[in-house]
Amino acid sequence: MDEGPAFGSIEDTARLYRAGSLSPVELTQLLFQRVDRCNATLHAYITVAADRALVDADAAQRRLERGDDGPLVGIPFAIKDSVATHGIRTTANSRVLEHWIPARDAAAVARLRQAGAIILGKTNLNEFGWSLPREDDLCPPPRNPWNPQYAAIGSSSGSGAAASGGLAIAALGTDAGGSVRLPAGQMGLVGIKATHALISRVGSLHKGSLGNIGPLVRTTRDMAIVLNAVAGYDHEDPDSRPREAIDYLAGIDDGANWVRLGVPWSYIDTVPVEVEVRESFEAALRDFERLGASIRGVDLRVLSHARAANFVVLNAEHYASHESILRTQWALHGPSARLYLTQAAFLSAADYLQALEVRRLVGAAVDAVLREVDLIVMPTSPVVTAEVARQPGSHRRGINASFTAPFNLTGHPALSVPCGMSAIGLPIGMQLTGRRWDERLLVRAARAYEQATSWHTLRPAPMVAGTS
Amino acid sequence: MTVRIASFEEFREAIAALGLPLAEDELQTVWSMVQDLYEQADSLRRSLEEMQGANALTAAVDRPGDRRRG
Repeated sequence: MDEGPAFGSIEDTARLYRAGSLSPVELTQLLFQRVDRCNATLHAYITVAADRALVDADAAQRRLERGDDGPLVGIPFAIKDSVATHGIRTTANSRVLEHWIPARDAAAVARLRQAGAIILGKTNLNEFGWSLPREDDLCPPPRNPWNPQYAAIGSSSGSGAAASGGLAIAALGTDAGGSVRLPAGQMGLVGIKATHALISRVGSLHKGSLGNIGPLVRTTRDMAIVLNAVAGYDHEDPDSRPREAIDYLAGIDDGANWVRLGVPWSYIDTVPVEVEVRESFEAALRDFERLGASIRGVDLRVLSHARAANFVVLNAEHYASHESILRTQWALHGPSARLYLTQAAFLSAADYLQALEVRRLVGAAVDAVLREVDLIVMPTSPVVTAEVARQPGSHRRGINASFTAPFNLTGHPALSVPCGMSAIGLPIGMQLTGRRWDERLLVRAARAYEQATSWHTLRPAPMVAGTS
Repeated sequence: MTVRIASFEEFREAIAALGLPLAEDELQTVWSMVQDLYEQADSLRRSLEEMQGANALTAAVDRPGDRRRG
């Protein structure tokens, strides 16, 4: 069978279904064939749920035959293994949870299922999303489908590898410092960390005050489609807020030639940004200018405070949620995770509260800038490879999350869109950050950029052929 | 100012008190991580001084809706 459909967008797939040239069962079978062939190299999935997925694909086929025009009917998704899935093992890549089968779906997964999506399986992450990945983890670390000589970046690296490598059409990840946006950027995908709690966090093991569930998809229109399905109030999520329903597709193709972009050069210049990343970012700014956008510098040096504050809050919240099982199940934690989780035992209440005060002040500074411009633009990651990002000194300080983590702290929505390609064949991403609750503008501006460029149309050639 | 673990020996005793069975090489690694973390946490105090001024108590009263840009 032609393997092209494995790399299609959600919209491409839906068109093929409605034209009768592809069925959900055929696509699901194709994706599992590719998983069989590629997962030993990519380590994208920890668990596949083939039997149930094929039953769900058959049910989706019947929905299509009844004329159901839902955009996600029969669309195969991969779900990060720190997000609960009813009846499907959820491990967070830890031997602590090796045999846990959740009794219910996470709210976002339930919404996807309700919309007709098919859950293929659970994707890989570094243990609990808070450790340096190791070959002796429950599942070894994911490789990047664009060049499997390199590791895939970010804790949602398995979701990124599945969605970009033709092992799923779309994926859900979680993001507490950049873990959706960084793999999206490095694997040629669109990824979002929406306004804090726009997407219910119920059923995610990464909650706290920073963590959010976010989609990784192939196009900005796909992002709007998935947001339409998963965004919305959930009374079980204490941070969720009732909001008027928004159609994220409405007006998405209307262009963004009026958009005012702010570039915080005085902050960007404090971060060790690789030359290829900077060149791709500057080229993307020129593309935006050609589209008619206005671009100006903005002063956001305070983001350096946010990076440190995010790191302190993340550490403290990870420790708080793991304290009891660290004591009782120390030996089941991997050698890296248990050390990462232990360090914050030595933070004080004042450390945590001062980090929260920095959050308030930096959030206000970002709000002020977003009254003068519509979006803040930066590279998604300062570096191309996970190998550089994970050098112990910089990883422990969160340097690779310099551009992403500040917006976990402040709660502003931020989206990564493909904007370049490195010499070693790994994609490069650009991050757009907008006003709270204004994801519509983010996807609209990113869509305008996408229509003017071709980065999102590239596919990881080695894995198309199924070789590494 | 907050109370910090100042020496490796003190750190070793604190870990023992927590009841966590770290091996010797793990103790060294976590001690190094904790020192990095202290550095980041201490940098937040300097950040707050920069953003609020030296007196956080009066700043909260004088500028409750602080919107200054850094």
